[in-house]
Amino acid sequence: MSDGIDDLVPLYVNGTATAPERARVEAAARADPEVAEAVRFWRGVEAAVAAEDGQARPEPGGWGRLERALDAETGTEARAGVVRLADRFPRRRPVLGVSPWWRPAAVAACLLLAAQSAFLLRGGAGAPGGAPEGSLATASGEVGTATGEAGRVLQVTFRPDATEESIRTLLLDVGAVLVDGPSAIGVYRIAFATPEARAAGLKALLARSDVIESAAK
Amino acid sequence: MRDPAMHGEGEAADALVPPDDEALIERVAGGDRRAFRLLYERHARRVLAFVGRRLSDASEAEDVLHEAMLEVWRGAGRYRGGSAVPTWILGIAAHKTADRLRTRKPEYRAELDEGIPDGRLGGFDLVAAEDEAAALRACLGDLPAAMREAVHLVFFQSLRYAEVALVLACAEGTVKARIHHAKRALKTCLGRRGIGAPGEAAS
Repeated sequence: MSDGIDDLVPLYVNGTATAPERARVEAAARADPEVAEAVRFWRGVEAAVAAEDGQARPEPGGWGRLERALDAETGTEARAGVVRLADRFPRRRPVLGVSPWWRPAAVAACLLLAAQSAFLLRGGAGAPGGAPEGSLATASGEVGTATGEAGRVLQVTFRPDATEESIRTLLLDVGAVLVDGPSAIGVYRIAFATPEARAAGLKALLARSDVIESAAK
Repeated sequence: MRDPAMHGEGEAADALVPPDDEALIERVAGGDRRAFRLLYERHARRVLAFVGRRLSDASEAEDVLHEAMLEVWRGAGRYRGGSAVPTWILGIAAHKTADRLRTRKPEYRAELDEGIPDGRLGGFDLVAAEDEAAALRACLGDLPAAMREAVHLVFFQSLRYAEVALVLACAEGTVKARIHHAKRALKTCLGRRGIGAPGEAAS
């Protein structure tokens, strides 16, 4: 193989060769089968590397984690940082990512979700079949077997960048309904049909760090 | 000087032509988080691929990506344009990765050895390796870390030798040598598997 061509072939293959370098490699490949083989070899390597290394995907919460670190560095609360950002770019706020109104909006959406969910919290005389106050009843009127609310409720906080859609989907997935919140510090209370469902739900929620900031009994 | 981003003009411009990396870095140096987010979204995957290749631990790779991007935020004001922004970011990631590797137990650092591989099959599936592409991927996995890293930077990150040298803080000649050795090692590995290198008949 002619002098220096061996080093140029990888650059020819990865697309960074200059026009003169490309012309040199192409001429060499026409004249020397060894160069043509080297081009094919590195193309095969490039495809294999793309198949292997192209699978990397940053975790969904990566940016949120970074932003919290930036907030911590500047000595401000995450929410303060969010407000600053919103003030700076007032005309282009992501739906729930940086706007301070997302929490009430999420609450409203979740209350709507609660109304549409399979389970409704019903009390007193309104409960079908004379169900006792605080018991769970299905929308169709069947009374659940839940014990007291204390055993079915979790306290959760959502990530500041969680969207209404992601919150709604997650609550539906784990079979929870929003019963209270947000508190002054942004804590919501969500209820499950049974203590067993709550235990499973807690595990599922903790696995969703892209939506949930904290979850506890 | 009027800052277009502060007046909403930057948004309109973004919608038409994405800002280039240099422009983003300048804005990041001024504390613009939106620009930083764009930069993160543009490069996180590439950085993670590079770091993950070196660390072979997804969770640790995410941590290093986080640390590297935090360093980009802190150091954006020091960027002088001596190298392309992706190269500069990868260089930061390379430093962070090296720091991680240094904290590992000595046995893990054996992967830094630049010796020529012996063509062992390691944990790869022999059946899958019957396929040429699978065999090539397996052989890539068998390369010593320094060679694999150079191959990654040239063929995945599409860098020239000088840029790879900047990222890895080594001489350009070293990068060329690693690529040359990688080619030889891969051909040897494929030959031992009874598969010819891409473009040539099986031996």
